[in-house]
Amino acid sequence: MLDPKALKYQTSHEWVSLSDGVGVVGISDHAQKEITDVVFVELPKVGRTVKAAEACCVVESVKAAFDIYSPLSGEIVAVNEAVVKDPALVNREPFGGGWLFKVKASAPNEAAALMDLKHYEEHLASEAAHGSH
Amino acid sequence: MLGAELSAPALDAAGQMALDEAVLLSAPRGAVVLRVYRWAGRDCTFGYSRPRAEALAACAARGWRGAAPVRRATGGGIVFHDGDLTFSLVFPWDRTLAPDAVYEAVHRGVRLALKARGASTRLFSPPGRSPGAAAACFARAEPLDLTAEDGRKVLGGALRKKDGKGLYQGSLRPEGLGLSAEALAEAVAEGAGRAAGAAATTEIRDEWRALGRELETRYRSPEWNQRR
Repeated sequence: MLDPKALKYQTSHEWVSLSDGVGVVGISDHAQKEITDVVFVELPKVGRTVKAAEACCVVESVKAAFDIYSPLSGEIVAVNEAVVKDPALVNREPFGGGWLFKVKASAPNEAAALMDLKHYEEHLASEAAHGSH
Repeated sequence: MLGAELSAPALDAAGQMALDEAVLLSAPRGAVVLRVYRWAGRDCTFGYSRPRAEALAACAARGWRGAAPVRRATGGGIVFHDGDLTFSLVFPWDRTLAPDAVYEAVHRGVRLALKARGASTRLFSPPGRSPGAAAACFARAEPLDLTAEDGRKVLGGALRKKDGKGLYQGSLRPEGLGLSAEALAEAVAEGAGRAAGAAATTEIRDEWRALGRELETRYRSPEWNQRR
């Protein structure tokens, strides 16, 4: 399991762990709890080129489908087939076995614009203070 | 308020799904757009991740030979559109992710509007959530659906979140409510608008309809409908 403190986050609740120019991407623990029981994951195709904040994946829970956005621009170099077979992994291990895809960053400096855990938690508190949806 | 949309051309399932997606993609941030569908005939839709074979089997079991069920962009189960009041709401969804908060707000709003017109319903609140979801939307009530006094499900919905906006698609069964189609549509408009915290517009711009016609190609395609 990855250390949530070592990850970067975007406001749409994806996290990324960047190492050697490759980012591992998943959704936060907060997101999986809010989405509730994940029943389906549609992953991007390996080889696809994405831009930062581009929708490239769909996670569906019992009663809603959510677009998932790449935190970084680059090429999808791997996907986690385990979450296709067992979507509940996203709920059980959001920072581990529930990762979604890996993106080879074409502009790794984009990560600097993402939030660290402290700022992400402040963002969550701000969302909560502003009401329901 | 509903006059413009109720006099709009009737559409089939692919047309309805495409127009909803067009509104979702095109509506300005912060806007609340309500559509009450006019159906061209009976039809069937099924949730984004459900197998098409399941929907075909459900149509066959209903005696709908030759039916061509259409995959929705939203989640949820199989819905038969044969006399239901179908509606959609595009709304700002840029804070919490929780779909239950959306269902509760929309369904509570519709419930109050129905009650004001003399139709009594309940917000279904069982002690626990049953695992998974039924293949057919109206096979059983899920938490936060609306049910009639006898426990029969009368309103269910499905959601898609995209780019800080939400698309809710709802299906209201009129049986036993004792209200005309017009009264039901008014209740939906009033209740859904109240839920969104702003007066919902029902104006569908010409460019949204044009985009909807473009998107229809995908909703009619085997690549979309048969991919699972």
